Amino acid sequence: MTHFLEVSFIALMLSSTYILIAVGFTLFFGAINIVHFAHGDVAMLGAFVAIILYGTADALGLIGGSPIWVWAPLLAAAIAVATGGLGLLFERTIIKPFRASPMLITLVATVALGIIVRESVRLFYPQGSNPQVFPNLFGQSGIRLGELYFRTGHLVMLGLSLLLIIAMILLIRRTRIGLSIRAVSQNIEAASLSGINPDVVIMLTFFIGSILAGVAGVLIGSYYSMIKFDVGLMYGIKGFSAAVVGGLGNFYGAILGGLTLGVIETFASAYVPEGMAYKDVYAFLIVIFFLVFKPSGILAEKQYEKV
Amino acid sequence: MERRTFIKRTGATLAALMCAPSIGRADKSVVKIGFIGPLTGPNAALGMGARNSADLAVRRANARGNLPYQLQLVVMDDASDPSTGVAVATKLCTVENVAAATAHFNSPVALATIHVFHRYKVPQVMWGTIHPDITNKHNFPEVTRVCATSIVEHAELMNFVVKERGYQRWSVLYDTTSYGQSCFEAAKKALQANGATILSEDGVPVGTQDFRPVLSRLKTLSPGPQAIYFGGVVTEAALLRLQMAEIGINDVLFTGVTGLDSDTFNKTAGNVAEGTLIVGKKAIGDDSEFVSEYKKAGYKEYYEASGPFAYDSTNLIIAAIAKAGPSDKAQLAKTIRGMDFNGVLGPTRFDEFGQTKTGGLTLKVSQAGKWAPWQGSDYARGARALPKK
Repeated sequence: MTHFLEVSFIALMLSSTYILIAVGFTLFFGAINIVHFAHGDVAMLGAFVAIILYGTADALGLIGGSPIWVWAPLLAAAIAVATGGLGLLFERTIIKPFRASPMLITLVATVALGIIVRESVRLFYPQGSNPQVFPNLFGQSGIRLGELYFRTGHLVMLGLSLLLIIAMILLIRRTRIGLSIRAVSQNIEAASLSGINPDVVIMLTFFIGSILAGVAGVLIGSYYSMIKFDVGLMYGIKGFSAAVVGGLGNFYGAILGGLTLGVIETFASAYVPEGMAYKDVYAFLIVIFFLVFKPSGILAEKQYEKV
Repeated sequence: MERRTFIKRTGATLAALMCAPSIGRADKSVVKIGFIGPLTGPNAALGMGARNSADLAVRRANARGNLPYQLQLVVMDDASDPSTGVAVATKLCTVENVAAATAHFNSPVALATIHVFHRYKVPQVMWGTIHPDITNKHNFPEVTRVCATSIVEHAELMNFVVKERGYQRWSVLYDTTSYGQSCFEAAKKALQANGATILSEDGVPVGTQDFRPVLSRLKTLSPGPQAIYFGGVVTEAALLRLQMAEIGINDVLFTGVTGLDSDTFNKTAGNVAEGTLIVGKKAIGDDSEFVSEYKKAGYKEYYEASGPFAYDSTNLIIAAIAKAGPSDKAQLAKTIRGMDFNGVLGPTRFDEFGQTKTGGLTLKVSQAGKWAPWQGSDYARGARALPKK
């Protein structure tokens, strides 16, 4: 039972990284029908931004000099703005020029962007080829529940991800901003006729999506205590697959898809003999299964949009 | 600003490299020696250390000036990728027309390029690959190797850990590349030969970040493992070691072979690296001539564990060229195989497969964030203790 609970927790951690990335894919696809294949690399950038900003804050004496509840939110805000800004920059420079072109063009452009981002980190970050140690904000402290042991840092990151996902649901369902995003994804012309500036909404989508990817990057960095320049590729593919399994364009689908992939991968590794070696095979078999038998994903695409 | 200096420096280095051939004395004909290693990609640090060491060997031979030729090192990057390796090996053998080459850190790359070197009859001395098939499978007369195979590495490791230190119950993990597979097979054989029990075997794809599902399962074993072996390289090894500690597998010995022999492992795994035991590349004393010459030459990168091997393999090629001349490649290959060479690693002599008979290995333990030779470490003296059994 302990083993089962431990594996469930591991699956939940992995799923939340997939969900945070998948939500971005789904937002972009919903808004302007594109697949942003460098989105996983934005997550990787988020982790590197965190390392750099943490190092800077430490060098300035902010971290030793003030309590954690003062500097941690400031640092988090700085990381969010920086990563969101990078995502926005990519949208302005790489994605916007191709908005009128066929979807395939954007796809190729973002694949290329991903390669450029990865290689730039490798070349220009000091010792960029090697894995980089991720700062451990919460030390070795943890909570013991019987035979189970949870690191404080992991619990905080998991809690933060869940909060963000709930906040996203509220943002999309309950606010004016969410209404504009939904309007643009339903019909961009009609939305602009009713006084919404679609360009602003698209920029906002990329800003928010990239922040979520950045959080995923920080989650990955702190969960594994390290980050490497090339992890974005795999997370990008997994995040995209999660969005497809859940139903591309559907916000709740991204959550379900991320959970599905994370749970299958983790439980296959833990319980199937030789499962670790073939965990990706199992995960992608599920993706293929959905593509063949239910291409619209678990939740049919944009169910709340077609009125 | 930093990037500008970087570009300036790279430019300057490139310019210097382009001028380099013209520095040599004009009255001597040029003989080329090839070097291939990973200068970009995940193993770039090791590759650059090896490149610098090979370069040092050539520079010193030219400075001594007792050869009737000017030697020139032609450097190629295989990026740890077999297809790139084949492309640059072909270029070395055809366009560059090298007399011989010293090559490769990655076994999969070497397994691909031995056929190229065999086709063009160019002698190839391996400085860093450990897959047994590279020398044994085809036994090409062109192929030799100055470092130990995975079979030798694992025999040495398990002989010490199982027989001498008495760790009996093992869990084995390995990456699913041909390197990891060959490590796994050699480890299994060596464990069984020493009478140890293998409780679990798990393959992991390279790039795996989460080892926790498997580690969580290992915790349910009763009795649990006394030692965990990992057949793979640095990044995954560091992740595995970190997650062992996190999930609460304490007081279990962590071991591996030369794939872990880079201080990146100690840096990335941090405190929990302490007490990890490996069979590493032979440790060279800081007082050795190689180290002092390397420092004097002012290379930017550290020579890494692979440096002495690349240095010795290049010097071995140079000595063979001095003996047999550079033009008859078959004769040169034969001469290399018959060499009785003394270098920084000690004596190197090849068996009938072109494999060095002498070890070039050192048992190492992670101590205070560095790989320390077991002999003379705090652990050997009893000041620190390995995990209990």
